Amino acid sequence: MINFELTAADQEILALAHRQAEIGRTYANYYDKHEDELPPAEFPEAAGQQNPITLAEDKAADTSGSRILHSLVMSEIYSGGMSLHRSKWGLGNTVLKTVATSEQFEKWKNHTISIAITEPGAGSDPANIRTTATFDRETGEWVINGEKIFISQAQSSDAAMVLARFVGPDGSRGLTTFLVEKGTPGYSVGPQLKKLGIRSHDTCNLLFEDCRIPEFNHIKGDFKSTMTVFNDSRPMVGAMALGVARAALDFTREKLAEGGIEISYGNGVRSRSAVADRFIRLEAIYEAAILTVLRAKWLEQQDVPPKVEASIAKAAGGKAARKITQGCIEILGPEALSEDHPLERCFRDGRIFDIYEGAGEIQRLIIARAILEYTSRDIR
Amino acid sequence: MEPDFRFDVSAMRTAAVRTASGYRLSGLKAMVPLADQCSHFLVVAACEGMLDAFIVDRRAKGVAINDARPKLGLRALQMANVGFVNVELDSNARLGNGARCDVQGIIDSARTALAAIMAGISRAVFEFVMPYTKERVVHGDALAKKQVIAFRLADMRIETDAMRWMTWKAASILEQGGDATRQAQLAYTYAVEQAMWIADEGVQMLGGHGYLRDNPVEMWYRDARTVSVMEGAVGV
Repeated sequence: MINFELTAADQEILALAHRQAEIGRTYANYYDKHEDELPPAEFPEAAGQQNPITLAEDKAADTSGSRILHSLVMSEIYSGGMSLHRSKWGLGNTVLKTVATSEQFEKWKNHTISIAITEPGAGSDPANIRTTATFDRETGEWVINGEKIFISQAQSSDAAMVLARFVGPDGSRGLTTFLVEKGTPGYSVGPQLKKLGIRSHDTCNLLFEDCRIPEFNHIKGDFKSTMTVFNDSRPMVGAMALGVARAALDFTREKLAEGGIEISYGNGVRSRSAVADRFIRLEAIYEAAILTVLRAKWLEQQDVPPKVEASIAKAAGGKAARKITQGCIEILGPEALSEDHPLERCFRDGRIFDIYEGAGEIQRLIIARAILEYTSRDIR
Repeated sequence: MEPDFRFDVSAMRTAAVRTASGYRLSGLKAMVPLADQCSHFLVVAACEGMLDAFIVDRRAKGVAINDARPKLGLRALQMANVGFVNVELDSNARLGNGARCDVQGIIDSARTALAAIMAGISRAVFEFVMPYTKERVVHGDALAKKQVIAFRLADMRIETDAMRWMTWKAASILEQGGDATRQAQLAYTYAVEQAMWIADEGVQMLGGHGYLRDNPVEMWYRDARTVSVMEGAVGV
């Protein structure tokens, strides 16, 4: 039978994530206002707390599936606005796992590795990057020169996985990745970027000036293999977006109720106030999007790698976060603008999800190519 | 459904009052499907402050079945107005015999079914326009290769997926005997907006040809609008 219900174990794990999100929420405001200050690797309250994601893996047999739960746990965390502990994993770790040799993996598997692709002239079009890696025959090193921008986990990571344009010892050219450890001469991390939202997130630009790294640091993936890291992360970003949207909806419903407006689902359009109608439409957007996320994660759970469904989840989640956070402020009016309340931060935080990790337009390109059976030559 | 532009399921005008032998029913129902073919009507009416359902024989005195009224879409399903003027009913005509009829359950099921129909119409539009846009050449290239068209098709795919999952979820709750009111409302409300958008863009993608009755997209455009406002019609 088709069943969307969460198991008892699911609910226990999500309740734990929710409690932790509530604790995280108490810090969200501070780090939103202190963007130059990195949140700690772990907040004091994290001590002795089980990690809901680890718990989901331990109890996998009793749950709907650890991959499905992972997305729902992330959603909970993002509804609080601050995680109790910093993630030890970066997208660079996925690249390492995917293409590194066993020796390379052994060396760096416990490092937190950020991914460094985006440049001032190349965001949605990463093939257009200009960072170069030139092989120095005399020293057997690669020399990296270039600038990377909008890099997540820039200061907190142990290394960066850098996508660069290489000229090999044999004169061959192409795009490939290099692992650059923190502290390598010629590699510098800039100050925290001044963002609209997600100000607690560690985001900086990186500079490579004649940065020399050994051949061993050449992680021999190509452009295609590097970009595959985003397949898995897409539904997760959708889930994160919806966590922020959920926070906005919950706050709005609470304030409406305090003002005597309860949302009735039984009535039709003509018996609803305008405000209740708007709220229901925003809720419907949330529900639609979260189900596309669950669909993608369910497929992943069955070991059916979801390409189109992953892009659908990311596109739907990103759009939903925009619409819902915008709409909730519209419903509640000017009091919602005040920094006294969390909704204006949800509005600012919510805007990123349709932009990063593959903008909504790129997701639609991927979906369009899949449904139309077109290649990137047919439609760009 | 009642023939008033302000009609809403929560404000029913058709009413039944208790009599010595049973009930007396009066009111006017609109958009009644199969009015010309059925033997009985299930009539939802306000009774003693709540909504209840009554079974009424079409031949009962006071029942006036009007001619079918042609409408914008779903034209194959003829619907007529049916009037009830002081129709005398036995007490056992009231469903559930005073235990009250789960009208909200009927409405929830209706909304879920309509969401499913709208998802189906959406899918029909999407599956029809895709090959057309790949074939049709405009300014030297297939329509489907133009970003605005390709992105609209991508959005059609996103929204038909979403509508399907929302409908499945509401239906699964109904199947298990749970309270589906919220889920049915969300599935319905979402489908109303998306199905109308999809049918609308479907016509646009075919240009002038989309406007002709030779092609099905204009029918789906009419059907999408029709089904998406029928939330009171089915059984109520």
